[in-house]
Amino acid sequence: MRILLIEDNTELANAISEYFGHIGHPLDWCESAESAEKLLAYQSFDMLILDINLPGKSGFQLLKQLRAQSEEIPVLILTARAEVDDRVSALDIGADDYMVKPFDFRELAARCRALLRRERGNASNQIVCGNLTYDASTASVTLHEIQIDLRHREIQLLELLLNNLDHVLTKEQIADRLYRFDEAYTPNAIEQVLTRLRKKLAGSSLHIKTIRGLGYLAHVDD
Amino acid sequence: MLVVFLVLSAGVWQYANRTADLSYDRLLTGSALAIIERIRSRNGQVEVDLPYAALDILSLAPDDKVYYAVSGPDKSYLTGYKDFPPPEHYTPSASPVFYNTNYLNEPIRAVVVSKRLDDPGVSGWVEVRIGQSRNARNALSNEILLGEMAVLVLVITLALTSLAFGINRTLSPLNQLSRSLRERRADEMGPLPDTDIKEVKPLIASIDQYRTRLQSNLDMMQVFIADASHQIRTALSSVQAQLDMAEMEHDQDKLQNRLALIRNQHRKLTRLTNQLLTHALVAHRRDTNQFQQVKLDALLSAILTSEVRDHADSNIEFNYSNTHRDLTIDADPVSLRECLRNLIDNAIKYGPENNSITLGIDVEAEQVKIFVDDQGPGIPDEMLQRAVLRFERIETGKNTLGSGLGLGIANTVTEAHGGQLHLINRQPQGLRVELVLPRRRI
Repeated sequence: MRILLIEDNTELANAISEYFGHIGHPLDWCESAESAEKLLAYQSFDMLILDINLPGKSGFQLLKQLRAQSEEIPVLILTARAEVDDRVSALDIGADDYMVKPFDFRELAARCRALLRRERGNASNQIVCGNLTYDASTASVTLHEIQIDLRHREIQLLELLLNNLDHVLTKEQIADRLYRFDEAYTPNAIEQVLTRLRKKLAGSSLHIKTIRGLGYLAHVDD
Repeated sequence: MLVVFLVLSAGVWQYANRTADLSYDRLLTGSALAIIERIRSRNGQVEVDLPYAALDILSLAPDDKVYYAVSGPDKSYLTGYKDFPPPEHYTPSASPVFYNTNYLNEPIRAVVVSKRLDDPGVSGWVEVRIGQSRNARNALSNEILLGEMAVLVLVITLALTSLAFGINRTLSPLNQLSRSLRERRADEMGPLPDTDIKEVKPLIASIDQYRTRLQSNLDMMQVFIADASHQIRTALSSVQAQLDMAEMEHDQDKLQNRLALIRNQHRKLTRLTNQLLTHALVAHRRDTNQFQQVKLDALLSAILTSEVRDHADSNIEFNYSNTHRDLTIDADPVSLRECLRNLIDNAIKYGPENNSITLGIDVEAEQVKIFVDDQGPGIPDEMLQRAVLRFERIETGKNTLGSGLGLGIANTVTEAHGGQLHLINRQPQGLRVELVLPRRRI
């Protein structure tokens, strides 16, 4: 399990390194996007913790470049609040998560663990969200390692939400995926599927929020 | 002025030339007509009886040479200078035709006139050409030119002088004004010295008004810095105190408690710093006019989405209320986003755990109301007014993080948009914070 931290503030980087060493996840550290590129060229990492405001090439540029090379490595962005657009655009250009400085180290470690687990899951057709596992090949769901019985539409909805974590899905977008065009459905139908799904997944790390008037948003809280 | 002078000079030059030509052309015509009158035909022969008096007229210009030529039908030579040139493309006619030519290396002004003889034996056009060198003519033209130019220069000089005088006189109160502005100390208040000149009074009034506004801005800034320093120092010293106590603590459990307190204070300080910086940001953007067309639906749903994401693990219910999905308004999207984010954060911080928060808009003809509703305790009616002021934190008895800057930010942003900030207690409970903004900039 190798994590690369790209952060130009020495004190913060040292503190993060020390903290991660303490909890048994030693990490590699470099100070700029340019040196990160060199490291990534001949070593493989499981995850990047990337500061946006770097000397020379910015974190955004590095991230864009990685995603353009279809590099799937999970990236967690560190950003300062003053950069008001960071939070939105970081997710838009392919960051998997972000944290706003100053942040809680425990929270950072938890988010990293969540990302690493999710990534390991992806490789084996599995999506792991904390205590919840979804296996796309067998369409099975386990919570606390206990198999959960879901109906067809509930599975479809769960998969759709897991593939769009942290993004809003409108009712129309969900209906398009859940129902064929010749199938009649009432606006309440989706709400009912969701209610059943929520009940069956009670106590899981996956939160499905309804934003009335806007749509649905799934978020993993590890 | 130079252009006017050049145009007028060209006009005068033209006029002098024309006048001189006109006078001397008359003399030439007179001579030519006198000569042609004396051409007769007799017994099939053309006879010329040259009247010397005709040429005498031309001797009024003593320095000039006179040339003439008379030719009969078929251009046959009769008398005078045989090679004195005719005009180009000449059709014989009884009315005189003037032309300029060169003869014996001298510029010549000449006239030609013809007469038709219709006697038996002699028929056809006879022609008289008579020319004169230009000395007298040029002398006259120059004389006229000089006279006119003298008048012209005089008039222009007079005009320039009176103009310079007038401008100086008009601008003197402005010079006086700039002198008194230059000599003023930066902290000197009070109105500028008055002036008697009616036209300058509004200017002085505007400058005074501007200075008053500037001063009130500075005053506000001073109060703000004082408030901010107080808040930051308080938070910092309490962190310092907890650190000192933690250092002396030997009991593990108590140490953990101290650390939790420090963490809590630090969170408070973080939020305060963020809000202060946001306030500085929106104030700066207000002063630099960052307005553009904003699609309200896209902005609001993005704000709400990021808030939901940040509080997905809470029991808070989020709602969005907007039936005008295509509405655009003139606004600064960055400060509007910061303002609404702060209002929603406020609602979360001061509200109950199962809060229900609604972000929405009401659209009217000229204005749009953007509101944030919550199910919190609201604000006591008597404190609604004060709540908008910076750092007026409402004591509701609940121990929450917050500096009271949230509403101050909202107030600054609304003012920058030329709108109003309303706080309304909702029934049966909860608070509505409403930004009433004009849809178009005035």
